[in-house]
Amino acid sequence: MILEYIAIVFLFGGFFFLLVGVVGLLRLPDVYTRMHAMGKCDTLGAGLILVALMLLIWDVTNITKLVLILSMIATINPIITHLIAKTAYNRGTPMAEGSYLINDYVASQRRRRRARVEEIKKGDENDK
Amino acid sequence: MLTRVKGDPMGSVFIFVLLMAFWLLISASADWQHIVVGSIFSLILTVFWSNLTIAAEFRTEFTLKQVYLLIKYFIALLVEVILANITVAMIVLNPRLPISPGMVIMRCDLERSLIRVLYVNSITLCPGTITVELEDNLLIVHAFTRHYGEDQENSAQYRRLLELEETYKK
Repeated sequence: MILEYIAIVFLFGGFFFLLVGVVGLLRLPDVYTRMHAMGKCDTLGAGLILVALMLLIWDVTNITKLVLILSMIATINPIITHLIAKTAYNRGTPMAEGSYLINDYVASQRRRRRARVEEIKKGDENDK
Repeated sequence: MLTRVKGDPMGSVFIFVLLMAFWLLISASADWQHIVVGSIFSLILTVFWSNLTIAAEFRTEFTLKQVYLLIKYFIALLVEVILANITVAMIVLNPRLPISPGMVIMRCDLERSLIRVLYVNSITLCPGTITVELEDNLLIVHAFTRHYGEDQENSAQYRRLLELEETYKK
């Protein structure tokens, strides 16, 4: 009995997150931001619904199958999100207005080099 | 990565036990017919796959520390997924839609392909970021709001995976 109430909570949590994903798909301005909504909310929404089904069925064979489905959803969903975003980026799909671009590549390389030099200096001082 | 060898008795036993355990989980009965059918199919698959092993230059040592770090990483990832969904829900359901999207180009120093895959997937599932491109050590990330785009390099997931990769290098 208490298991069913817990399952209901999980089930409605899953529905809520799937709903948020669809609302995001309708409201957000461009491909990339839509992928944010779909990629994340689908993973957790479907995951919560599967957990609720596990609690309701409560049987070793079906739980095994549901765990397999859950792990596949959790690995495939981010990969598909990444592929759609990558294809859109390589085709030059424009971003929404007001988007920015931070190029942290060179700066992080310099930061790393400086940190390594400091490490070497510290090691020299310790040797003395 | 995979090479064929003449036959590896320990590996075959391991594959057989693994397949048998999966069969028992799926069938969930100790009936002798089930066990006979399952063992026949496990044997056929074992004969097919037993001469496939990982090539010598790709082999690494297996330590308990890796398992501990992986479990820690997955628990942290679960918390991150829930947090990410709550942030997305709060942004999407907000009537003013407070987003400031943009691309962030940065470095990624991970080398093992499996850990790179884990990193890319965890970026996609973490709050406010999805991966767009990973080429050698160039990583392009799309950020949902400016707050998440900055300081992505020092994220907790990245540090955990660097720590995990350290254990492989010995």
